[in-house]
Amino acid sequence: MDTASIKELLAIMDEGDLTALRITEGDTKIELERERAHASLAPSNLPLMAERVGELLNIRDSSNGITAGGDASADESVIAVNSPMVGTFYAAPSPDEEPFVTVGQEVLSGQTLAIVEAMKMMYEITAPAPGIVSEILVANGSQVEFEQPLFRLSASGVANA
Amino acid sequence: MFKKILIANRGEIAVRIIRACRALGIKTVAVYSTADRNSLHTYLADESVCIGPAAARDSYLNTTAILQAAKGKGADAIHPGYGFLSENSTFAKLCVENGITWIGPSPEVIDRMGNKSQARRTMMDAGVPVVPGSARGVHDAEAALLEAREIGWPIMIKASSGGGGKGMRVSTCEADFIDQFNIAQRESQNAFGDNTMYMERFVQNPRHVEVQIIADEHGNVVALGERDCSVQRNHQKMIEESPCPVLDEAVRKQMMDDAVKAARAVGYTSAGTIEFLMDAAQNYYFMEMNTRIQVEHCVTEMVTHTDLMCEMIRVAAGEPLSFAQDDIVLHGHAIECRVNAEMPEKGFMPSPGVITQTHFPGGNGVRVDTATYDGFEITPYYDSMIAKIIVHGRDRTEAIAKMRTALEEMVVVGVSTNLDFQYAIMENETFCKGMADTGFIEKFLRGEV
Repeated sequence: MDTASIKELLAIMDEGDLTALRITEGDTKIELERERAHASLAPSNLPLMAERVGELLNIRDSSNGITAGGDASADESVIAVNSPMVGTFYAAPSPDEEPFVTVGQEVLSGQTLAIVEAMKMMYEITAPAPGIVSEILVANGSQVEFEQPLFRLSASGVANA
Repeated sequence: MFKKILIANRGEIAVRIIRACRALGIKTVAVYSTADRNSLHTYLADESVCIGPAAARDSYLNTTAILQAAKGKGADAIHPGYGFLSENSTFAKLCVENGITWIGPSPEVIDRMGNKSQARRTMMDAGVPVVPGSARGVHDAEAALLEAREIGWPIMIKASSGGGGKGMRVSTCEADFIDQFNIAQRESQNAFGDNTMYMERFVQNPRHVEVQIIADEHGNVVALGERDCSVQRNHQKMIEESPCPVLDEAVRKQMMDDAVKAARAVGYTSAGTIEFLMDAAQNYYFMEMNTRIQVEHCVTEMVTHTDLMCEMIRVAAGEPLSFAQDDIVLHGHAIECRVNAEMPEKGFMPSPGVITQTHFPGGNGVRVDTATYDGFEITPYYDSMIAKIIVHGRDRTEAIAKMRTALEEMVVVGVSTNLDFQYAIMENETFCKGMADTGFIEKFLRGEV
């Protein structure tokens, strides 16, 4: 059997994605075998789980498992506005309009600050009390989760002690 | 193959799914309620999304939040685990409509098997043995009585849309039938919003024997042996094992064939379980089909040397099953004990609280599936399962010995558990002889066995 024929056989193997080909022709026997590619053992592109288990162990090391919440709860003059649901945060009523609010803007109780959209349903995020927008914590179009802080307002008309 | 899967569940099954995804090189998204902020599954997943407050209705059952989380994170599939939305055909359909693969059977199949009287009808048409009973749903007590006379007493009256033991009553003789029918129907209307009832001959203290099946989208269906789940209390399974300790080989073969027949009859794909009731003479009857992966799937994995979770994911991605029926042989014996945060001595009242310390068993043929860790809080909002302990031995005797050792070794500090109770069953003569049927736990609690 000549090399041209062997090349043909190799082409057949490639075409058919074969790992082995054995041919007997009269007194000639040829066996071609490819080492099986372990595609499933290709290096993982997943983040190391060890890092996250490490985070968990840090949590376990602290006194109890519950991390303290309530960013703004201690400070009465800061009003936290958190997302009531999972969704997409929109700072403006529509892409070509101005944002509902800007930092420094004074807002009334019930005034719309943003929209969170979930499954085509729009939910207006409103100011729970009158105040001044001190921080906008998420970017337009970003995904937000339940209770994720969206805005910090400073309460207007609160006398400093 | 999927790039990213969102796990619409929590606890140990979420951990199980995440591990399978990682083994397949798939990224994972966990969802969690505020009560589960420090849950293990949120740490093991690549990404996580808080979807709502503690109440399941607003979080793990919140289809909008979960679907939005999936879209927001670019997940191309959702695995629903068990419980929660796993058999919710509306949610499955929503996923499909939103271009997200549902890892489970089609919404139509879920519906078909979710309607109990329709499922019965389907099985009858397919030639799968069913408990003698009504051919279709009934709404009227008098009409039901006429049918009851054909079926023969004692009779179990059941809700067509039912489950979990609700809307079920036993009529022992003709004299009490109308009353029991009306009570059951009222309960069904209240619990499920449907007053359609059906009836079956009541099999006294049957064994609960179920067959694990899995099917791909290429027409392959494989039965992976049976599990005996007779040790249950109020229809809550406590111990499961494979194989069934008393099943004749001929009956097993027939049961496997019937399970495959049942799956084919409904065009089933993905993992599922066909539940049978079996009497002392090894006559078995179709009871219902669970169109999801189950808690006790690990028991089957141990005796068949398969990974059902990976297989489920592969099948959902359109791959053919990696094994054929001939490849399935039951090796040795496996037993699972569910360890819960509860107080058996107080009617199995849940015992939520912070688990301050744990020690889990291990060793040859000992598997622990859990989401518990030191400092983890079992909250009252969800089920009270702490861990599944699964053992495998060359035979049932060895499996029981290993389970005793495992339960002895296991320590949980901070909440009450049913560990001692499970241990007592492992030492009970009736159980050890393989003679436990669904009446066993009641008798055990009364000290009669």
